[in-house]
Amino acid sequence: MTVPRKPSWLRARLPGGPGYHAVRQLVEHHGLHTVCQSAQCPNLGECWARGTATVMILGNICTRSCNFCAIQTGRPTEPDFGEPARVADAVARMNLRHVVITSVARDELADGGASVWAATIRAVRHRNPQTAIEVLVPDFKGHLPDIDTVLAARPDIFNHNVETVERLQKPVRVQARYDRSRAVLRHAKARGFTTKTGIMLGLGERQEEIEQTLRDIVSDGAEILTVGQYLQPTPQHLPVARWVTPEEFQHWKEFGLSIGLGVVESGPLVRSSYHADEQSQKYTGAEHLNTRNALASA
Amino acid sequence: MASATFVPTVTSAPATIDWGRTHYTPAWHQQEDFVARRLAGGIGDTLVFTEHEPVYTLGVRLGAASHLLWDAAELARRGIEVVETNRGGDITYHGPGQIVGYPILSLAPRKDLHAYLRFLEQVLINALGNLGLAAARRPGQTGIWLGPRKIAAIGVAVKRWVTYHGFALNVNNDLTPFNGIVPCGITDGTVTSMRQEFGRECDLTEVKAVLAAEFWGLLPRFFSETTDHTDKRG
Repeated sequence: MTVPRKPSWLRARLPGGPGYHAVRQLVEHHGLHTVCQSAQCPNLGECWARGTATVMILGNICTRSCNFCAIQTGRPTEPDFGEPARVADAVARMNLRHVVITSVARDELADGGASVWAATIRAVRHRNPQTAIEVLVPDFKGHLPDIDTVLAARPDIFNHNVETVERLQKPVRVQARYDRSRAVLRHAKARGFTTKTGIMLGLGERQEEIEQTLRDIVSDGAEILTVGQYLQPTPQHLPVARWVTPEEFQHWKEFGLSIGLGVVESGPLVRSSYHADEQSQKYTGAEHLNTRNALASA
Repeated sequence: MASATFVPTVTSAPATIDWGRTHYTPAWHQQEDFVARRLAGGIGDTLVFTEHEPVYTLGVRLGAASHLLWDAAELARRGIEVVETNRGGDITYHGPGQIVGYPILSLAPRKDLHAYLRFLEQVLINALGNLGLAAARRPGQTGIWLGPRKIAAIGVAVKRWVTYHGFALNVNNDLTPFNGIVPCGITDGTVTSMRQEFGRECDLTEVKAVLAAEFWGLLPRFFSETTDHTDKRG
């Protein structure tokens, strides 16, 4: 079965404008990586024009080779132990009130990179005490002491994506597991954190499977959910099984809210950190909108 | 009506003090004086900061002296003292620009020296994190590391469960004196400083403030924990 070409609702804005160039310059000058670039995010133009970016720490080479993800797989180099300072400085220069930090998986490190994670959170907070810090973490192979290392640094929002329904875990994210990701979310919840997760649609999942996934997420205590359309980054990645309509995304948003989620961000171009600053206000107890962004008006 | 025989123990409030630049031996004697006063209840738990004049100190570990590589003439030329101490561990170097922390702490609430070492490590890890460096423990070795590079040393002593000696964090200090020793007996690593990592001088006052904040911030939980929850692999 062939899938028709990309529908009109997936056409994203081209990168450009003063905000975009300012963010790009900052990222390059600070030697940072962004998941926006590495994962070929369709919203890069929009977010960077607003002066925001999602920083990706621990390098840009991932030890895993998930079949949905554009990030390069390989054997990474030694972690950059001074990276937390540069991330903290970049957040300060962007004047972000809400920052999302993510990382590649570093399964070859004894702590999976947890110590770098914790230092990054602390450095960002020390330099930017008013900024809400959202982390989008890997599963640390389910090793709970590593998760605790990250949690000890007190991120404001703890995000870990289950990515897809249970049946499709193996083909979609080879070295990860549905129950393990759920255990990660439950652990952070048990420690009292606001938790968030996300799934992609269009990988071949069935309606009842999506429904069950959302129920699982609710039973694990997650407050925030993102739902977006899977896009095939290269021909070597999984093909798109279907284009989910904006109406169906709206349906999942309403369904998620009806079964107890606090915020559901659901739409074709929604990604993990999309409009994260708008979602966080409800949970961080303060307004953390990136509206007075330093670079957007540059 | 409360029991009339109950007399609460009155101790002074916790304090952080800065001795500024000191020679090692007088500072060591001053520490012992503080320990006596802490035991007598005259002072509360105290965190002392200082910077030492150049000195190699030898811990109680067997063979520490053999890890001193420079001879007497070389030491005299460079103006570095050598002092044998009663702290744990091997040989190390102290000098201007390095922040030395001496917690004079009653471990009566938790008589666990291993847990105390893990606590000091966590103080340093969190402080360095705040300051932008991703430091960690290294399996089987005390001290704080950036991968294969050691940035802080730890060596403690206790007298009747009051601690002295403590930690040394390389901030702006010259690292060449470490070439004259096998620091802490370690042959598979190097020594680094914050200045070396960042490529610029760091504000010692800020570093001390961050260390003190982490120290006093983590202390209540260290005292209240009864079992060791820290990562055993570190």
